[in-house]
Amino acid sequence: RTSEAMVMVSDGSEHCTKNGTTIASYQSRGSLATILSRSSPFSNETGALPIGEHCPSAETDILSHFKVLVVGAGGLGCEILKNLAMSNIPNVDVIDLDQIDVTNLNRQFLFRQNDVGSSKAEVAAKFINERCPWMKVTPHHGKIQDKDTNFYKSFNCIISGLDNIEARRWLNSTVCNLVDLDEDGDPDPETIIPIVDGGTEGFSGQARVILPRITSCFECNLDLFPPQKSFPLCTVAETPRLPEHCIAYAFTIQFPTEFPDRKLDTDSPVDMKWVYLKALDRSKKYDIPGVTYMLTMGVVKNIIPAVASTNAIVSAACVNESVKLLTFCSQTLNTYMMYTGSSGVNSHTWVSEKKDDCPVCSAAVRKMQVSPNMTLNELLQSLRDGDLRLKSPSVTGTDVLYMQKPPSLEKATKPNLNKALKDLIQNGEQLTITDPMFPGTSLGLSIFFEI
Amino acid sequence: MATTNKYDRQLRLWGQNGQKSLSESCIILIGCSAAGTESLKNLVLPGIGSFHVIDDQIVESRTNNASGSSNHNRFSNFFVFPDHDSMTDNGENPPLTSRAEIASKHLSELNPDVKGSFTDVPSLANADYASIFKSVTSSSSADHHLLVIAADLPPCILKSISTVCWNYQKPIPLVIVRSYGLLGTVRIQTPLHTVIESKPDNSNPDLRLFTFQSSSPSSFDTLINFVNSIQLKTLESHEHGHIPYLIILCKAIEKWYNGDDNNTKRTELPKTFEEKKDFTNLIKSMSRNYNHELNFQEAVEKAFLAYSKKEIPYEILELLNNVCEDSIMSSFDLLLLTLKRFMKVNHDFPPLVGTIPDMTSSTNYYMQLQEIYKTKAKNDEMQMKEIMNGIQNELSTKSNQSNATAVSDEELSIFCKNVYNLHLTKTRSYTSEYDFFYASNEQKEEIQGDLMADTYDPYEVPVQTPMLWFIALRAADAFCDEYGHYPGKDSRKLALESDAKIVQGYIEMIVEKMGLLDNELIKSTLLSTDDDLKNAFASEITRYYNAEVHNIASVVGGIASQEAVKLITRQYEPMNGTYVYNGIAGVAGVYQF
Repeated sequence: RTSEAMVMVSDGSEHCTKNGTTIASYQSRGSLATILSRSSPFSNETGALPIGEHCPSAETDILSHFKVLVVGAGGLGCEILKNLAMSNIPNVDVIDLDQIDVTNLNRQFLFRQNDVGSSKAEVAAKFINERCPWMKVTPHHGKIQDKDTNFYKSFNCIISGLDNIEARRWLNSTVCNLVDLDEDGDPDPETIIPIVDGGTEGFSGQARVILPRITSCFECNLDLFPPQKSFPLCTVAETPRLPEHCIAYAFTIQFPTEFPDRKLDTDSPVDMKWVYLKALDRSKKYDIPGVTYMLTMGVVKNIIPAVASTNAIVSAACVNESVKLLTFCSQTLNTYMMYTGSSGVNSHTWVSEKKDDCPVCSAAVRKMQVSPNMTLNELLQSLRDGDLRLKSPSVTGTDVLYMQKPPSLEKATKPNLNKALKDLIQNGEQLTITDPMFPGTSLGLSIFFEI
Repeated sequence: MATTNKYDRQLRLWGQNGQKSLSESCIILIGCSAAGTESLKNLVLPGIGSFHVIDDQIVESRTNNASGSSNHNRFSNFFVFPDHDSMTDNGENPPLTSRAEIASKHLSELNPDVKGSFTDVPSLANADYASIFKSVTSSSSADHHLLVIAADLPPCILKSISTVCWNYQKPIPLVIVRSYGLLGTVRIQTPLHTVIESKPDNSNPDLRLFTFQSSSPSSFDTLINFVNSIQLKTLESHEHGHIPYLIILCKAIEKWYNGDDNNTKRTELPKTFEEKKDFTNLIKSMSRNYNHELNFQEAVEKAFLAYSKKEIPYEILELLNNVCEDSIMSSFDLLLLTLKRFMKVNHDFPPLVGTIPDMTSSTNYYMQLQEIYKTKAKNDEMQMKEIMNGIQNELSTKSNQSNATAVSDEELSIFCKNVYNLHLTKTRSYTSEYDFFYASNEQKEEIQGDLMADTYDPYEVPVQTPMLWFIALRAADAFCDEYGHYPGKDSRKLALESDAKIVQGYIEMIVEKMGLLDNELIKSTLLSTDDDLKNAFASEITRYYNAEVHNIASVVGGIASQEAVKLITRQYEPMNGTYVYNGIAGVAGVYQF
């Protein structure tokens, strides 16, 4: 016993139950296995999103037949791995390219001070495998984009705890494209791998279920995640009013001017101090209060506040859905649960709509009306800035119009960029757009000229 | 790594003050279930001062359990498992068996800043909680603020904990958390909780533009003088496009009252839709090139700030009405009385907040405006301080209680900046709620309203309305009160059916006592006689046998710890009611009973 232990002895005179049974029997209770072994009036097939029939089974290792991928070993990932271990799902792979940072320790509870600098995926997997000897967690320290389709095909369910939109879009597109369609365009159920996606910001978060080609996909509801707002350049350069404007000036204008040959390293204390001091100078010049090192870090790295509790809520909601998707023991979240906890607790569950012309999960050809004088470059820019939010599109019509890769092809097609569309394509011509945001698929786009 | 503060990501939410409050708190966890340890995990990580775990359970050691590899099926608690580290063959270090000790040990490993301790009790049912709390406070080094989390306990134990916390010399906030199969609940109990920094997501700025109203009782001279010193007509075009919308709105109000060739004189600020449209058009007419002047576009967008007054929340005004010199018990009361007197001598206006939002503007105009608001706020704050000193003098002459209610300058300043965001929560005690069978008519109506609201929302699946499941859980409690265990203990089909029938009886009884027998939603769900829904809720509740499902425990543990953080830091508005997570369909709701 530790010295802090205190043993309290009570007289035991109280009785809680009416008929005198000892109270300790309330402690005896069922487990997940109990639920899996019993039939239910609310099993999966009775819900709004039926995908399978629950067969009550007393088999204890029923969940060991499945293989689950956890994408991200950060705030959500650590929780998700623990939840999978506690749900008795032993076959798990986890992938993350990051190393452990000291600022992770307030919530990423599988990591300790000594682990700072090590691979998140590896340390997390090791911790879980040691604490829970029945677990077989395989770590992958690297980028999700470096794994091929066969890797993703090998899982029964993918749980994503990512912190950025770009990776989510890539994963969504990759998994949606694993679905085989028959001649009528109907998906082959065997090839549908559910994605359960979680995200948090401060005291808010969301959990959603994506059944590729059945429910909406991440891309269908991309507008729920508006692109990050940046400060207008003229404000930053000419009329700064807030400390953030001074910081933006230091890292977007002063740093590249001072160090034209290298990029700002946001993990380097030297670089960050430099930015901070420049921002401080500028704020003094304009008499703007409030530039601090902490704020500088926040603005430059676009830091999103994160706490343990929100991560726990969202991760657990995600793994709960995964267990139900794998065993059919209960209904499925249809399809999106939002949660906000900063004033009271608010929760809302709703069906996120499938988009008819979703570039990832529909075969629809989009139509676009443009001026015939628009250049190819302007068209590409509008595809980057518009609702499609492409990253670096390549275009093919009847001929190859512009290809980002390989370099030789890029060079050969580059002259097209400044040509007017009317000189490159016919009115109504269907273009095929490919983009690294949509791996393994392309997007049809018919161009009509304004008259 | 460009920062070395492991709390960086949370400091961005609750700041150094919030972190200090956390580090001065002591969390007492009663019941080391998964929901309990998960709640505590999320509090140890962000750095509470200390925790104390109370439990009455024994953990079976792994060696005693010969069933081999499949015994991990029963593990649903990440911080409670047979302790294989300390197992030795020679028996020098016998494996730990107390659940409280094991949980305390593993939770302590999460954060070296946090001190953990535990108490083993023979039975949670008749532990003397008041004396345990007392010994915890006396043994903890600092004067730690207590908060109790009660996890997965039956009503009879909860009632006694609820009563001790409610009646403690200084009432202890209590968070009750529970997981039951695919269902979970969290409930908070606090007689009175006040929040100064509630940090609302969006709130309109306190600009006092009505000072330009001819009949305005309160004037903001420095702002008036500054606005008058600017003549829009004389400005060159670049400057004209960089006049802050705040000034444009002031000028528009003046024009609205004075009229000109194109606009009639008005005597009141815009009220009707038509008048508001006129006001917007007036702003547009003041612009030289509306499509290119961002500041005028902003002024149109923010036109409502010109004619809407920022109001102090109703419940805070109520408090102000009730506060008097004889009832100053806390620093919050003192601040309220100060505010009350301030408003009395300032035409019912509270101290100015003193911050302005960002807006299109030249640096110069913006900085000047900022300074005007800041200075006025500082002056108001000084007047608040004088009033407060006066009250303190009165109090100390009346009774000889000195400094019992001290307020630091920093606290006063935070209070002044947050007068519009003040918040208070008063919950019922759990014990009194457990008797909600005798709900007042008003409460019954509220519950009816809540239930029907869900059926109007096209997204909701009425059968999965969390409140229905809450009623079903109450029936499970009633079963446990009677039989000493939860329904579904015996897995055989007939036994399950028989338990479900009894639970259904309790559901009907509870529904009747809540006065909900005639509610359409209840009739078509809990009381349905259709083949597919008959006894369905009772059967599902029986199926669970109070199963501990880790994911559910972790969801409600997350909610519990988040609410605990809000209660400890006195920032953000805590929830008032019971959070119900329905893990069947992934739906949650908060209900006040």
